[in-house]
Amino acid sequence: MRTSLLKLLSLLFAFALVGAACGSGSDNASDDGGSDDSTQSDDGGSSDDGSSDDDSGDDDGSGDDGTVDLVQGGGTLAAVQARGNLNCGVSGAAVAFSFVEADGSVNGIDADYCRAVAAAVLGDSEAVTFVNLTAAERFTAVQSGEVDVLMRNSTWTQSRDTEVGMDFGPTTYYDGQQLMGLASDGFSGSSEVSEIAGATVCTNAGTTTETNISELAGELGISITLNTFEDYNQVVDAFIAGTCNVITTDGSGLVGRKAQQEPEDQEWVIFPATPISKEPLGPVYGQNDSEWADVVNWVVYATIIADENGVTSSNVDAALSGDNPESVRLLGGEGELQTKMGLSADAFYNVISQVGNYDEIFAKNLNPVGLVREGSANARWTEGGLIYAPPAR
Amino acid sequence: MALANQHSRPPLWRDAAVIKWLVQIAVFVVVVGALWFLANVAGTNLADKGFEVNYDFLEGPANIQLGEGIDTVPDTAGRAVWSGMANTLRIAGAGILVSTILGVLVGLARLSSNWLANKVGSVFVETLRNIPVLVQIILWFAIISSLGALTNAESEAGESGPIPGWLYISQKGLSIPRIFYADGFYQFMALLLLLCIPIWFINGSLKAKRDREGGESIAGRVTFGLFLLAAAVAWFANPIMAFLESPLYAIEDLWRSIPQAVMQIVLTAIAAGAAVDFIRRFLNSRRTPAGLAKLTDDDYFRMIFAAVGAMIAALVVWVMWPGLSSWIINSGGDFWGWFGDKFGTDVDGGTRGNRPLDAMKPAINEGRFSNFAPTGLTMTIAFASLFFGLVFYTASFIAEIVRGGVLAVAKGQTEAAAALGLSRSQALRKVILPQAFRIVMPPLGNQYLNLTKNTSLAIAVGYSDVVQVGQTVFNKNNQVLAVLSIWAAFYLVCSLTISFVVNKINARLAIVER
Amino acid sequence: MSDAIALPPETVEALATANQAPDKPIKDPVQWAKENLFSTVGNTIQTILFTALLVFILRWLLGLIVSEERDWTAVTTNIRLLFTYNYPGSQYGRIWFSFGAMLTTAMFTVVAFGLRPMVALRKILINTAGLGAFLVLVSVLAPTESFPLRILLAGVVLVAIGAGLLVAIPNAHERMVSFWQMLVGLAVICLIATWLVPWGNNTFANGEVTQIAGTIKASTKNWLTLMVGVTLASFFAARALLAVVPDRVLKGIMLVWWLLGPAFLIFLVLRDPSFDWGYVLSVDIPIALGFGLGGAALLYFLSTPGNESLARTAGLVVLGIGVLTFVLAFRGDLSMLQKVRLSILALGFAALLAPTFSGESRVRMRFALGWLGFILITHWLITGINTPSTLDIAAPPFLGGFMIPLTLGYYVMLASFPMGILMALARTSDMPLFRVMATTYIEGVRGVPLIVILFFFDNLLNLFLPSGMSISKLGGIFVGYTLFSAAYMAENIRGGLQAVRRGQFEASDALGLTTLQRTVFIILPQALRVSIPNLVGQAIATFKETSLVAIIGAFDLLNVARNSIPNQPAFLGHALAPLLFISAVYWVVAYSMSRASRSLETKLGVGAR
Repeated sequence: MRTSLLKLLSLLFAFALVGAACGSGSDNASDDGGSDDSTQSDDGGSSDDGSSDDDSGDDDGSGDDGTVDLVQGGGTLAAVQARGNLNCGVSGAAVAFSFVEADGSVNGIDADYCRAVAAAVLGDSEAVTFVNLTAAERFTAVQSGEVDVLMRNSTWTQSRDTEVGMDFGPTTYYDGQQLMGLASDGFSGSSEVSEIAGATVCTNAGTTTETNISELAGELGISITLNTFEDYNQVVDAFIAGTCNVITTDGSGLVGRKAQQEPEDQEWVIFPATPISKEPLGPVYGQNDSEWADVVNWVVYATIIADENGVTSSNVDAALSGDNPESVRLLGGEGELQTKMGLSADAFYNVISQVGNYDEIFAKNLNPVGLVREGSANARWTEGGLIYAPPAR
Repeated sequence: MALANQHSRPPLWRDAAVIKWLVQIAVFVVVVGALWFLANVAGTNLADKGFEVNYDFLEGPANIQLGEGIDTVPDTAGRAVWSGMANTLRIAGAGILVSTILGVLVGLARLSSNWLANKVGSVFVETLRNIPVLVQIILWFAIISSLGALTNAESEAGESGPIPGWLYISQKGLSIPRIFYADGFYQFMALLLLLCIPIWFINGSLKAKRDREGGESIAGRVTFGLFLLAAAVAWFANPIMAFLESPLYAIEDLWRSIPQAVMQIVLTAIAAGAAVDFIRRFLNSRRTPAGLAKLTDDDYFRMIFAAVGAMIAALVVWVMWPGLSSWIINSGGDFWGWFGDKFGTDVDGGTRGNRPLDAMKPAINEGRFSNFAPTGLTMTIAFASLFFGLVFYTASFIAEIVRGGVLAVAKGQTEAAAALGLSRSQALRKVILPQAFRIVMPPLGNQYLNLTKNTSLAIAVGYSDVVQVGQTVFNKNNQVLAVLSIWAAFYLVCSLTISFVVNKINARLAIVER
Repeated sequence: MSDAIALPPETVEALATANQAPDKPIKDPVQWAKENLFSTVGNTIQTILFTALLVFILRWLLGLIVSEERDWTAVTTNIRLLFTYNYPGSQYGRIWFSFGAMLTTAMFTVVAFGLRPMVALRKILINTAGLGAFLVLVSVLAPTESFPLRILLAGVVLVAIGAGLLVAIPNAHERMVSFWQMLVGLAVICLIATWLVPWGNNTFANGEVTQIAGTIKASTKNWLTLMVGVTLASFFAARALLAVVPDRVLKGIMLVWWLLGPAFLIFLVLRDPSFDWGYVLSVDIPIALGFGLGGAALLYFLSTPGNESLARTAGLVVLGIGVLTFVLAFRGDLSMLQKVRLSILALGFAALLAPTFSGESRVRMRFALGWLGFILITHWLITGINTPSTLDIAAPPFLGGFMIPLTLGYYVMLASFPMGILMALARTSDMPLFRVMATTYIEGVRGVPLIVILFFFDNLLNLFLPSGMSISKLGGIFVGYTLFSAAYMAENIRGGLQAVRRGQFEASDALGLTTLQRTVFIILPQALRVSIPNLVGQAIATFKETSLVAIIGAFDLLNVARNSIPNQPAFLGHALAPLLFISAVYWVVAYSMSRASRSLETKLGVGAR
């Protein structure tokens, strides 16, 4: 009896092997193993809807299936609307930009801009599927169409913008690389970069910050010991401990950590006053899809215009029937600015009412970690900042 | 009729040997075909993206700094990866050494008759081997960064300890005195090797004498003494080896003057020779006292495959990769040139020092920041956390292997040793451990392999090993496939080397067995 | 046991407080210490040395754990994130259901395989007292002043209970505690811990953490109580069932459930697919039934003695058709459901296997029924997996946190098993080409670190897939990890194969078995039995090494502790407490696995020959 059981088991394993061997070639089409349907885009329209994966083999020749079109032919807007869900690439582990709360929800300025796009396109700010991406895989995800839009504090650079397959939207946060040292080491807010000669400088591995500081040290002719850690928490821990004399990363990261983690017996100083690099962060989307690019861009502009006109999520209803013509147009009270873009007239009304204007998004996510708009590049253009939007008319 | 049938071969399609080979070849073709198909798809996909896999980036500027290693500000990406490889080897070597020592100690503690030692050993093993090594490495990082601060002599607290000037333990890592090879090292080694030749002959004759006449052997002691003497002579007299410079340069010139065609012929000859040698030895193994045994079809296939292999090698040398030969010629010339540079009395910028080895005490930089000066042997926090994580994790496995090995030595051996009047520690050292060593060696080799591969977790704490540097490089230029192939090749070479060494040791030990 | 001596209570007390737990009958502690701690000078030195070491390490570890800077609310608030990542709270019943199902499975397995360890009452009591003594030691050694007095109190109470009962029950070392008694005892302790002990609880809402005194949250409490009930109920149900059903049936059911149950729970319970029933009834079920019943009939016929060559021919033909459908599909010429193609291939292989099972009708019937079951279950799973999930998850996949080590470890082991067997057979076969291929693969994979392979499959797998296909992160990790694990599996199984004696081969040849029959029925079962300890070791290693997926950005237990929690504004930078916590979690699981496997090995007598 026992042996026959073993026989049966061996047989089962043999079959499982066949399944595994063939499965890894085919089931992958949408999801192998435990993955969910993050790459899935063909719920509705495919030929045999019961098992959307089954048609992968036969359809790749004909190519009229969702996934393929997304990349080359444009039509992201229609695809998102058909799907009823926005795939938004985020970091999932970046303080104040996108992080996972204890109850599993995703928060941060990047996450909120994902919600804003969803609110504009689908009318529901919660119709977002967040896709956690590492720094290395984020742009591939955009190019391959795995995400509709990438909101992962990505710096807008020439090489990235001109690279095949992606375009950058308007900047949502102006950042810049700075350094942080100890006041007890003689640093002050007016310190120069050249003062770090001989220091152990720590930063994240494999990022532009590493290149920037290396290049700058070479340019200034100072010698530093550069220690790079995989994880920014390690960088800060090492700085608190004293392993690192100086740490460097985007100013937002430094300010946030200073506000939250500065020990009582240390005084941390951020310098130089002018950042050593420009790091404009904003949305990224697939190339040659201007319809979709317009939508994403104008969602960002809408939040900025609403801020300029004082429209917030609490007074948006009043503004809809108010006397500021630009706000009324923007919120869909009159004209067909939105409907011509392929959105519903109240698209931006939804954005403001469900997510908020730029100031609200900024205050909600960045004030808790000590980042304020006043006096920074992220202030309104009327107050000396760079946050500026084209007029809505 | 029946008789005739027995002697005649079955038809080809029912011949077991033929079918076996057909099945093998069919599967082989399917596997190779599938791989070829995948590679093709990858090629198409890459071409669609306008992306080309090449290794040119290795020559390009690196723009990265390494935390530590032989070259912390590398000029090219290739140099950076090379430094990373050196770092990997550094930590693997140190880790293997220390984890073996620690593992043996813990294993012996677990065998101790002392109850407390026994229990502490068990807790060590059971705790450390059940927590993932990656988690341990990250924890060590946190632990080391909670150590005391490194302070300057000038500052109020005085130099940090525990033994100022000799040993520092702080959150910036550990520092101890450093021994390093100085200018005269190569000349010293050359002279020492030269002096070892007569010593070797003396040793041989002494042994022969002992074998002839019996009695107490003094060969070992005499040889050792002579070796020390030779080392002392070489230490002071090493500059006389400077004459080697010009012959080495001559070899370099000679090597570089080899025409490519000659090298190609040599390589082909080597491949052909290997195939011929294989076939010859194979035939020899089939030789019985009664003459050559009848060769089966399988045997013919084997020989044919050896020949085909040689032909493929020749094809590679002549057609597919003609640059291989000139590459070998160039790198050979580079090697001899580099070797020649190590001799001679003049080096660029002055006269060559004569000391083969030198040592320095650790020190702390005088300046704004308290960092270790480059004088001591310093373990940075990244190195230390990776090192301790790997060492403790691996030691917990080695301890179990050692314990198992000792327990596997027959009880009679212990009793016999006791009967001979050996003390417990003597019995352990002279009877049990040597026998246990043989049992322990293969699994120990596996642990060394694991440790070497686990050094790739350096990426979690930012130690600049080959994986971390490689990742930084491909984050910049997207040449993931190229970097991955470098990683794979590097680790394969490391693993094969370790397996080779362990197998050699095994073979040696096996000869001792009777 | 015979020379047990009655002891005065204070001696026992002293024994227990010193955390000395000799397994032999209780001796005079002074004498015991003399023998085990101070027998010689060297021994005394060792004792002093190790005591110092122990005190030093314990103090330092405790300092790490109870330090003021350690914010343990970072762990308690994020327990859900750590274990299930962002599985939606509204659907949490599914997690509990799966947990309960696995508990039930465990209980049924324990009963079916008769793994009901008896433990001496004395051992339990001594361990209790030992735990108490350890707590006392900890609270004495703890470096901070603010160390809770409660722990000292708890320690003293435990010592008192353990030692007191040890003295009060005269023949404690003879009395055995049976499994069900232990189970009930544990259940009572669990219930007391959940309902009476004021742990306090944290509520998280809108970025704010509120701490509430009292017992743990009601939502957790109720479910935990239910789980305790389910465990007890399933244990007694299994016992009752065993009285009715023969144990081999139960064993068979349990084995099959262990193979399929987790897949069922993950893909059909946790993933919550929304079936389109009309389509399922009109297409999926007919296909499955057709393949299942038709195939079963065909196989039953083909395995009739005398039909061997017919079966081989038929198998080759069906295989050929199967391959053809794939080729045509790649050319875009033939539209067909993927699972049909897979089923054709499977049928071809099964037909090739049919001669192996040729014999009496009972065996053939079982073979045919095995096929039917296989087809029904695989079709069900494929359909379930390919149906879109209705879960509303913020950031997919729905597996995350502790679920990744568990499921990934389990599935990698399961999927690499058949591949490992094939590789091991190929490497030990007498066919040189197979040997070369298998050896190249095994040594090549074993020579490269797992992280390199994971990098490859994470970054580049999609590159190797034809356009239009893509694979998700976890899918890529799974494929890569399986291929990696298979090489190690092959080496472990090869060890077992080499342990099979030559005579077994010769005997099966003498019986006239074919190579396939010999391998499947004679050699493999013996080889697998020998390699069980190594395979368990590999399973533990696989479980631990799933932590590497954190490096390539999957949110497993380690990545949540290292990246998610320290990036929440409330716990910015608090990584050490979660890291210590997850080390404890990994340790508990890996250690219990190794302990369980060790006792299982002794019980079943496997591994040794």
